[in-house]
Amino acid sequence: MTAPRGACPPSGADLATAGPATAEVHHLLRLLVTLQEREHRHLAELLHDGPMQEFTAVLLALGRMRKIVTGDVAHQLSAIETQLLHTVQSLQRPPSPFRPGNDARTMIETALLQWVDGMLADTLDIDIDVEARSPSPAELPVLVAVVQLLLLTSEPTGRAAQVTVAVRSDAATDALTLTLRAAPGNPGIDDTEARASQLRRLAHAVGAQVECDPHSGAWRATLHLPAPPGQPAASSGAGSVT
Amino acid sequence: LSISDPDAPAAPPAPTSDLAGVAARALVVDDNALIRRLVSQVLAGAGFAVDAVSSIDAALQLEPAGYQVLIIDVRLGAERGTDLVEMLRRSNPLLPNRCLLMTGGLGDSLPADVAVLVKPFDPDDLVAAVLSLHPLAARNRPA
Repeated sequence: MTAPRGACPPSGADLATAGPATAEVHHLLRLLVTLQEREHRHLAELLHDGPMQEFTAVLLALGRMRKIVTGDVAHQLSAIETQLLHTVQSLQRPPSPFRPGNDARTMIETALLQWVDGMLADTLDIDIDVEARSPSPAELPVLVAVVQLLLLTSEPTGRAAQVTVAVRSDAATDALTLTLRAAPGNPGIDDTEARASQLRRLAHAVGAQVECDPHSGAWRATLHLPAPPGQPAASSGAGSVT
Repeated sequence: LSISDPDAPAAPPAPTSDLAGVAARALVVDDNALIRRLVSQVLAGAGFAVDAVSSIDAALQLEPAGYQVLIIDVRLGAERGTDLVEMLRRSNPLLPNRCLLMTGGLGDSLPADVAVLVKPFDPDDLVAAVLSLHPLAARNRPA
């Protein structure tokens, strides 16, 4: 994994020691993602029950009209149909990241692409290797929410310029490690100290460690999730979050 | 060719079942009256004798096994079109082969052995999907 643009190697000089993440905090993170899922589904249903029905009706009506006209009018109607179809297709909401049938890797990637890429990060690189142990349904939303909240804390009103998310599992310990690297946006604004302070507070709350480069403003956060008690290696299958 | 929609008072009466005749029978199940009417009109124009209903109960009253194709919206208000498909499957395991599910692409859990038509679609998409279900319907299609 390469360091983000503008980031210096971690010096350790600005290392915040993580406090113990409570089960309650991780429960809140799961609720947060569940809420996102609920909103996602609600918006999709609103789109399906409203505009999508109307657009389908318009397309069917246009298609019927095209059958009874000829020549240039028929060609123009056909062009309108095609344009409308493409426009409506572009409005389709993507499937839920945590839909049943997705494996853990797909869930994480899809969630990051939907809820981080373009919204919290200008450029997002994802590197996932969870062959040794797949994150459990309880861990998946925690991983995703920690990424989102740290980036939102770093960039309360904008997007980070470059973000790299890595999730790895350790075959020996069954632990999961999330590593999040970010180069902040708006490099002209000197808010490095304030950002670092806010990041430390949040990282402490969620059980992560954060290192901030005081010169570039780039930062790196690490979250370790130990193997669930009594969980044999590589046995935690993914499932629905909600 | 005819269209029957119990929710549309001006609709003509339902066609009689005539499997030996020229018109294959299609049943449209959609709670959206406009979609139901337009889909029915498109299929009637393609040579089908069409009945249209808005609910699972109404569909079951028409004896769905007597239709060559069943076009079913996945979301029927509080009901699910997939429930109708499973009811049909229990009565005859081959009936799902005659079904076409219309979906808005919401990631609904759909049976793998049932044809799906994703909204939005145009009349050509609809007719092609329906004709692919039943060769008899394709043969009976007007030139």
